[in-house]
Amino acid sequence: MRSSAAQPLPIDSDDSWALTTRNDYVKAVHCTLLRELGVNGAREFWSNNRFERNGQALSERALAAHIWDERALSPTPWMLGLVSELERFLVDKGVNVAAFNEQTRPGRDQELPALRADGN
Amino acid sequence: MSKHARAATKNFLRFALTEIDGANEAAQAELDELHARYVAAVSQTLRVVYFASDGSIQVGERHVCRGTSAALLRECVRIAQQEGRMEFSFREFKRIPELISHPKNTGFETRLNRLRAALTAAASGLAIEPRGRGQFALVTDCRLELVEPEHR
Repeated sequence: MRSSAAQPLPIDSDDSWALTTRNDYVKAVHCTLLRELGVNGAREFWSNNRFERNGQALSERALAAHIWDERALSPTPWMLGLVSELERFLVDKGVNVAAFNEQTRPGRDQELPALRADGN
Repeated sequence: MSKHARAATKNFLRFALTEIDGANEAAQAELDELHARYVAAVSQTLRVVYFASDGSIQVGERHVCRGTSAALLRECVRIAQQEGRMEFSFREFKRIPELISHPKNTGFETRLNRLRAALTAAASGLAIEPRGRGQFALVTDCRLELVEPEHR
């Protein structure tokens, strides 16, 4: 079910100069986590990387709604933290990090498929 | 029509674009389903019980209100549960005869304000917030479940 709760503001109310980044990458990570590790794997990752706003962590449901909106903005420091945390998490889970990163590469879905080895 | 489908109408590579489009739609549907399962897993369920016998409504074991306001909340929760929609317009409710006293003088805003105040007073984790002119939204961190016990 969609939540109509206001999408979380990307920044603390007292920090209007914070750097923010669109959620395209975060959503791509979420989708690939769901595909590779299923609901429980994705849940484990996001519960270790909570999004805090004004000193309060968003609920899991609110975070899920935020992540799913690729046009929403997230604080850049939080996203950079995700990138470093992601690699450790994937290694722990035995996931091929290079293949995972390939799946989350921007614009991947707009490319033509690679030709097959047999040239067809 | 998707951008690949649009491009396919005038592109000599349309056979390839059509193939990509089909694959993208299937992949998107799979992701939507996976994300819906994820949201269900991380959501607590908030039970909304509507008692048709006395027209009252409870949210999470707390009595909220009765009468038309209760019927209005029941309709909102029904839509949220069945359609996944949490934002509503005044107009769609003004068309429901059971919720208005007279088509010209509906009193809808008054009842909505009463309901909003009752939900705030009940502190049950469900709230109503205005969303621009003629619109409002149900706001909760939980998944809503509507229960309507049988008459006795």
